[in-house]
Amino acid sequence: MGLRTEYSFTLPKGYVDQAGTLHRQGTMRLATARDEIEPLRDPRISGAEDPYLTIVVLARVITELGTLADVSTSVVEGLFAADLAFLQDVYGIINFGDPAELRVLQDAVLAAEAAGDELDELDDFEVVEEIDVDAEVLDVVELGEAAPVTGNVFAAATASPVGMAASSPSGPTVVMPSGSAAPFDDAGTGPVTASLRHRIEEVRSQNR
Amino acid sequence: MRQYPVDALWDELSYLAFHLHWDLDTLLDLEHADRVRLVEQVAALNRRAWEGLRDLA
Repeated sequence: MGLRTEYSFTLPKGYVDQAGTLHRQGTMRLATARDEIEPLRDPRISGAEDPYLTIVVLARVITELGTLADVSTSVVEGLFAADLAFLQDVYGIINFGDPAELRVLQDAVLAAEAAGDELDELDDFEVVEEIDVDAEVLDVVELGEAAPVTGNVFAAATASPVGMAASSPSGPTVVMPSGSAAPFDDAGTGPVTASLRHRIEEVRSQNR
Repeated sequence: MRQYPVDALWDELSYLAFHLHWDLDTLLDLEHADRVRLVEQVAALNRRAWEGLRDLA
């Protein structure tokens, strides 16, 4: 192999292996023509538009991930949607954009992830016990807001900072059911990623 | 995910193989930016060579 250039990255969430170990730090090398031509001859790939192509290409160019001995397609398949989206962006930036933008992207995703963690921590507080839930729900109905009466108030919560909403005298109070699913699980799950998830399942079932 | 157009890849590989006589494996393993740079450099050398011939004529 000729000249080789690599970039380090930190995954927003990280890959959790079967032993439960988290792997977040990694390196990706610049792609070559071989990296994009050989996967097209992979029997799992139906063509240049196959979403699974992304998985095969990323598995080739990610040279390290945490302490994993090898970054295989099954590892890339097992990444969180947010991590997969991030790696696709990294690939585009270092190969076809300005690699200086990688730092901007990295800082942005880590800051967003940290903000998400803070919201998760807020979610852990038993705020519900200190608030008259029925009264708050009635307020929402009278104001004619779109939030469903029996549903959660994620829409209202994400429209304004949680801290402000909790102290606002007139706005809807954030009453996050402590047992509810985290509202940010789907962050980064765009249409492309959804079709990719579907394709991964197809490839897996074909290989069984 | 953004990728290099496959037809363009083969155009560039053929161009470099034709002019440099390097084996396919070597060309396939060039990073995108290096391959593109070589194509541009070879094209510039070609242009100068043709201009030299035209001046002689």
